[in-house]
Amino acid sequence: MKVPNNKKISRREFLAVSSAAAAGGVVGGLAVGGIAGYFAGQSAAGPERTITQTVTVGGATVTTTAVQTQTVTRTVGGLEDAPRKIKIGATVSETGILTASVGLLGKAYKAAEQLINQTGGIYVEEYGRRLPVEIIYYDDKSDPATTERFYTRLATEDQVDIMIGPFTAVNAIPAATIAERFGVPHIDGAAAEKPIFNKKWVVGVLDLVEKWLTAYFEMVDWYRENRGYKIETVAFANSDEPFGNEVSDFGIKLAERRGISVVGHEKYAFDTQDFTPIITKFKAEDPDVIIMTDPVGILQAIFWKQAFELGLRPRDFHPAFGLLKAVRDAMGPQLSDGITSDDWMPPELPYESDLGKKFYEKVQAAAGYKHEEYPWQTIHYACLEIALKAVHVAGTLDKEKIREALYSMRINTIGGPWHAARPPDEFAGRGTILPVPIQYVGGVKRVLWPPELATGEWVYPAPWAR
Amino acid sequence: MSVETHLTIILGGLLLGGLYGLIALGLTMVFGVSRILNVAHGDFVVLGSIFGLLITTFSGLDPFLIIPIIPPLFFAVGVLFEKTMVKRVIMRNTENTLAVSILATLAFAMIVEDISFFGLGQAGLNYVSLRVFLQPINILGFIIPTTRFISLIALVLLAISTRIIIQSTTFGRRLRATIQDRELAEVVGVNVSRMSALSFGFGAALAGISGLFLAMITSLTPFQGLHFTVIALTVVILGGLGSFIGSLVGGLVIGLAEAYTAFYMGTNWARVVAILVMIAVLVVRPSGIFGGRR
Repeated sequence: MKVPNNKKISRREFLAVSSAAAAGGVVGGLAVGGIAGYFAGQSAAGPERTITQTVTVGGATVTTTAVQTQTVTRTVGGLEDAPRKIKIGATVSETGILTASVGLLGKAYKAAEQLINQTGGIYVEEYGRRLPVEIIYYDDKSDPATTERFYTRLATEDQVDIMIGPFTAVNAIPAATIAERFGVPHIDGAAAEKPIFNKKWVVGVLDLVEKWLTAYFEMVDWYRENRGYKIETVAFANSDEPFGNEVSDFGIKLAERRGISVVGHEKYAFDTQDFTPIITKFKAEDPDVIIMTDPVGILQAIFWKQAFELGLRPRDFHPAFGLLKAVRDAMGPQLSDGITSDDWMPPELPYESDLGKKFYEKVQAAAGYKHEEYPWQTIHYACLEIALKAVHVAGTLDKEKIREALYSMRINTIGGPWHAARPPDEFAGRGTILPVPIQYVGGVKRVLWPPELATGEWVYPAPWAR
Repeated sequence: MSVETHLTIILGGLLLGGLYGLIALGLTMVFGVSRILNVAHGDFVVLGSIFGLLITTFSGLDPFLIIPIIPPLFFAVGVLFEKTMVKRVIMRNTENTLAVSILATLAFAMIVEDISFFGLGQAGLNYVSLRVFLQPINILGFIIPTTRFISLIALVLLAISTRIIIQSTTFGRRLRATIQDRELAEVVGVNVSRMSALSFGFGAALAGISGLFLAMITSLTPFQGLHFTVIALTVVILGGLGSFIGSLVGGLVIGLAEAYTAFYMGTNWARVVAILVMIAVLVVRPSGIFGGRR
């Protein structure tokens, strides 16, 4: 397991690292050149050529080889006289109970739109030129009925070319249904419940949401075996809706497979004010771990605050949205220190996409947030990456061709390699991205799992349980 | 089930029930004096929590320290509401005051809820909850949640003060006289118009302070105003219209019933209890538990 340390590195190690970095820099530079072609867009794919380049860094010679696509310039005109725009539609929960999770997503979309268009738009072969991107989004007010109404509008009145799903299952399920009804390519974002998939027009960036806790329980296995962590009982609490139910139900199976006793499973509504009854039951069972799942997030802070008040002290509290800054702020530093949670596409992961991390950093800066404040927005940003790439790969704005591209392409997103599961997969369309368990210790986030990506060890029991 | 578990449920039920009682007392007082059903009464509860959140956030004060601030502030808000909404909108229609009062206050409630929802949403505060955390007290092995325990004591003191004001002060006597017979009270020199404004102020103060306590121990959303009005109506029907003791007892019954239902059947069922109790009381004893003694 990779654990961070402050060990000083030797000159030899430094040279080895710098040589590798130099090699990476050359390959990366070529890759960036390719990306520039993709976004500058005034190019058509041509024959490939091999470039061999030798550089000397600090006395060490590094030879790198990369394959570059030769580009042929076909300048037609600026974005202002483009025959049409690539229209991407979405809704965002700018108001309502989901605001804390994705409140700035609309700004992120518009920032990305502006930056992409500044870079030159997206090359679409059918038009032989680059086209500007227009992202149309509406505030769904965190409400499924409003979401359904706006996705219908996006499909019919706005006639978007491709749609990005809204946040969480209660809104994402009706949105996917609308996409299917009107035959619009649809990329599902931070929601991956089973009813969303196995449709003709819908793919998702994430793997099934029920697998949310898979990595957590793998981590539990490892720490029980290698560190002797005593984890024998677990209790689940979740909102009584598709997201909460799927995560908890599968989580219970994962626990039981490992011989971990499930001593409680309680459900609650979004408008629950008082968690005393659930806390009282859990307290009687004294579980080692409490796993809490709902798409509101702040309810997890309210639960935890009340749990502390009532003297409930599990060895680990694992709120699904404990990553959110708003949730940790609501808990306060004393109560949030030591909680574990899950992150999707954290910047600590070594993945690069076509657009690149730097580009996303610019989007975040323009929209006024950081990943830790709105991590689910990163997932929706990855949807945008997939949408743009699908249009580019399809080479047309024909919806059927874009749909085919979505199912056939394999790309790197900011959250890792992505492709959509194809039929006959029972949940065709589901993506490949899964979360990684994290923990906040002393206010600093550490990625706990998988071992090759971990940035720190899991502190268990948490400070409050000692 | 252990004694500690029962104690926790009972403490939570009593606290919630006591707050329901205070909210209901304000509603019944307003209705008794002015014959106006203030559907927006529950929104004063939510506003109490929102004001609490704003004051504590911007001043950095501990929520317990702002307890003395909320009642006078909401008393003023209540009086202002009576002088404007009631006097200038509702009372202009003397034909059917009750129906107009329901519609007008419902409209007011919706406006307040939407503005609160929008305002809080912009700040990412869709759940109003005050950050109060005190280590629980361990007494003879029983874990007592400190915030709830202190809140319960404060609530008992508040209930006693309210009782003294209503029973032993000139204002209280005039208030009760107006509730019992508005015309006769006017004949003997009670300024009924003034009593109406004061009852709105008093009712809003009780609702506001209840909202502050609720935000300390639970959480609220801007759209829960109507829920609290329905709870208050249930408590009033259960306890008996215009009865101080009836409101408190009714509140405690509903609070404990909700707490035990949530424990045994799940939190989703807790809300149903109040409605079932209201229907049962209307069928069995429409005047409520203390209704006949007025």
